[in-house]
Amino acid sequence: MNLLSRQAESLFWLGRYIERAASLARVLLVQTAFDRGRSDGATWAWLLALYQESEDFYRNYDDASSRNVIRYFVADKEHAGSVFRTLEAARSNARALRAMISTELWMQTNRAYRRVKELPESALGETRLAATCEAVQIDCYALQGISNATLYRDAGWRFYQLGIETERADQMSRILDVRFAQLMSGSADDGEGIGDFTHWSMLLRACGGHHAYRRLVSGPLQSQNVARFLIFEQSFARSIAYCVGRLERSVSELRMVCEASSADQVSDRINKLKTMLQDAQADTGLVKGLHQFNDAVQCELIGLTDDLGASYFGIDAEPETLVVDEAPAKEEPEWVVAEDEEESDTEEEAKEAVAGEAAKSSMSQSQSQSQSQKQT
Amino acid sequence: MAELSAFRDPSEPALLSDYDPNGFFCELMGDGSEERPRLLPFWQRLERLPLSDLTARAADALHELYERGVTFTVYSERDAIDRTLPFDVIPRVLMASEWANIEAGVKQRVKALNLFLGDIYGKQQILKDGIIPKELVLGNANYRKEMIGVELPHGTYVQIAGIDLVRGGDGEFYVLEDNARTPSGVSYVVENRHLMLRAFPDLIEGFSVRDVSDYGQKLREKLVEVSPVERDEPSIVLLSPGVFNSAYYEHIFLAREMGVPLVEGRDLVVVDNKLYAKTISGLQPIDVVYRRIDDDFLDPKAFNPDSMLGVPGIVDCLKAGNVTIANAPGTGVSDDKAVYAYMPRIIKYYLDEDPILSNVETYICREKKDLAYTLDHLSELVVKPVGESGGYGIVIGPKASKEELEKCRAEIKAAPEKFIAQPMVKLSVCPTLADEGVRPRHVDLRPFAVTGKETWVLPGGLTRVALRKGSIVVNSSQGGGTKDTWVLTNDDVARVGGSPSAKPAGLQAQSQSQSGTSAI
Repeated sequence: MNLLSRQAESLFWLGRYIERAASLARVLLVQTAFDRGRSDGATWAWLLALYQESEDFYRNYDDASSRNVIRYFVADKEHAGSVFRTLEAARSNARALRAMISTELWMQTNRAYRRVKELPESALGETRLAATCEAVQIDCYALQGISNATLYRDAGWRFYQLGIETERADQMSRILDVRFAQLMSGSADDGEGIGDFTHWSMLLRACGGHHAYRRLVSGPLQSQNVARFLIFEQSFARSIAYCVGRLERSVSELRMVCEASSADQVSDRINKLKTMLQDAQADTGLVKGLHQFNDAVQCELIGLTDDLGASYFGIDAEPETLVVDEAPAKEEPEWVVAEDEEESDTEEEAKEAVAGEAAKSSMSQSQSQSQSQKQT
Repeated sequence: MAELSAFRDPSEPALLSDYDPNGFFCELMGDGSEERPRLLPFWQRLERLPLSDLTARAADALHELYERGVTFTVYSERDAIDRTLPFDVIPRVLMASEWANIEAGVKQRVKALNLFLGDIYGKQQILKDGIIPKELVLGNANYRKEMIGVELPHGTYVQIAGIDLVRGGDGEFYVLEDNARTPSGVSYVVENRHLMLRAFPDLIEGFSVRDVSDYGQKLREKLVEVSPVERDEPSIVLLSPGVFNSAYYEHIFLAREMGVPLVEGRDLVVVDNKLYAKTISGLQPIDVVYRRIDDDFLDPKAFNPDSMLGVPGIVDCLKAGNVTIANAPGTGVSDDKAVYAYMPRIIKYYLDEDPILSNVETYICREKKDLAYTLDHLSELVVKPVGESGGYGIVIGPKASKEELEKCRAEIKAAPEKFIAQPMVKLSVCPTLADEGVRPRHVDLRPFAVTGKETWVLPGGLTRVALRKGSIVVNSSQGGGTKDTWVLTNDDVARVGGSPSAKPAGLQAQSQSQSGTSAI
């Protein structure tokens, strides 16, 4: 018998949550490593923008000190976007999948979850922060390594991969979006040579791409190059183009190898993403239009999740049981208001369309997965 | 004999030096009438283990169970807490000859149970012949009239049975209870053995102990046999209530061991009296369902309409002969405590044989003479409400307070048909690791039998142990733990001790390594 729809959905979300936890841990670790001696808040606030959670954060915390932000993102049990809650969500999917996944994967999911759950107060102290973040990150990488080493290469594996790749592309797009917005808003320059070396270097490290980038490009770090590397580089396993290529492969294997039903809307969606990437690659003014690009990428990824739900997870099968959550609003970084008269009209329209779609999509996405996924 | 990994410090007392079974039959020593323990070689091996070593390894073993997720889950408002079922590392050992008797007795019992069920849902001859009161069967809450006239492959209603046995002071095994609905605990049998092999290789080595690890494959074979359609590879699923069920680990274990999907009610759908699973390639037909959901929740259309766990229409599929449900709905009537009392008569009626395994003497309160005896001897008897399971509602006469006894007496008088009574069985004990050292603790035994065309019994079964001193309640919900259960392949092993096992034959010297590098 082929994979159950429910298992496919759980595997997809297991992949997403594991990747999300790993990504979050890496971002935090990089931030910690570069934060020595400057816990004034300014350096940590961008993380709140990254996941659009400033409002929620300030309801419970006075200031964006390193300790507060780390606690919020690592151990806060009330914060749906914390590493703890993400691992908890991964674990509850893994629990539902225990008959299929390896014992080792379940054990490591438990270990990672328990480490964060039982984190002592001292682990968030200034001198322990980096070690804590590193341990969490290694736990998450171990999860990926163990799944890689132990999962069967059946349809379930493809759904798990689809989850990882979707989340990876989504995280990359978010980090790029917020980092560029932040770096560029502080400058009057129009896109070239903005931001100091540390910022670009941190961005690369937060995306796990610093060393890879250095092997490809020597010389000063340029925003244009950094952005293009993170979006298009085919040899970099976290670039958006790489992830989309893998998404395409997983979907085609599902049909060709695993005898899954055909799902034209899923293929169409991936083709759309590919076209977007091709157009963007040809666009010399990409950095300036980076936000629109990222916004569109994120919307398509949300759409892809919905398409997978409708095609494979049986999401549309019982509409009466669905609960509608309120769609989170997307914040507009200031720098987007770039004066470009020729394109402004169409851009505005595009933006509206995109925003509308985002709202619609995030609604159905929160329906499809009971573990509420705050940031979509 | 294998070397033990640690040797006892001569100043430390021998593990069993102050062990005293207190007059109970001991699974290791016997009834004390013989000069030597009945399992001398095993006794000697245990003797040489230092208590500190045993304790440390026991702690490691429990931790390993926890890490591996061999757990049941307790849910609070916010958290899902995984707990391990307490595991005692000193195994319970059964002689080959003892086992042969148990095995034959269990097979006989399961055969009678299935014939009984086929009859009461068919011609009802046993009721017409007055062997068992009609209202006891037809008025039983677990009698499902939906099953009347339904024909099942090989007449098998109870594919999976767990027969609870106790050993009395005379060293004989008695049936305490039949479990013919969804008996649980078999995963612990297999996991306990694996754990013992890993944690105490020195204890088991050289003894020839029968394997238990093929239970999943045997169960699968039997389920294939009862498939409603002739197919080489019928489609089998294990239907679980889901992650919130306390036995969820066992469902995972069994699905994995059988190599079948673990499904929930929401994964299945009925179309035209045929059962399907919702998969990524559309609806796929299902032939056999091993369900771990009680009758009440199985099919909201047939039984409890409020159930969210079941599959609407699944009973229709069964009636149409399109699917086999194991165990069949309505088997609960046969393992009811009231019907249990009639089991010796039921066996005699269908098989014309005497029971190989006797019942514990049982007073049926609905029968005048037994009622009078029960009320007269209440403080000596164990009173059990019928239709309950899990050790709930039991009143143990010798341990009950005056008020409890009077309350019980009033309840029996008000509705005698709701109770049975049994004398206190002098439950056998087994050396068990307690805080203060190795102490006798009471045990029972639940062998598992799987049935398709014929019945196969897993050698051994689940030994449950009442970890509290003096307690005779072994249920996990009330402070019970488990032990590994060894069935020896022949009794000589027990008498003369194990022989050293052969060394493995020489293997290929070494895997390839990278050339041109040197090890650091």
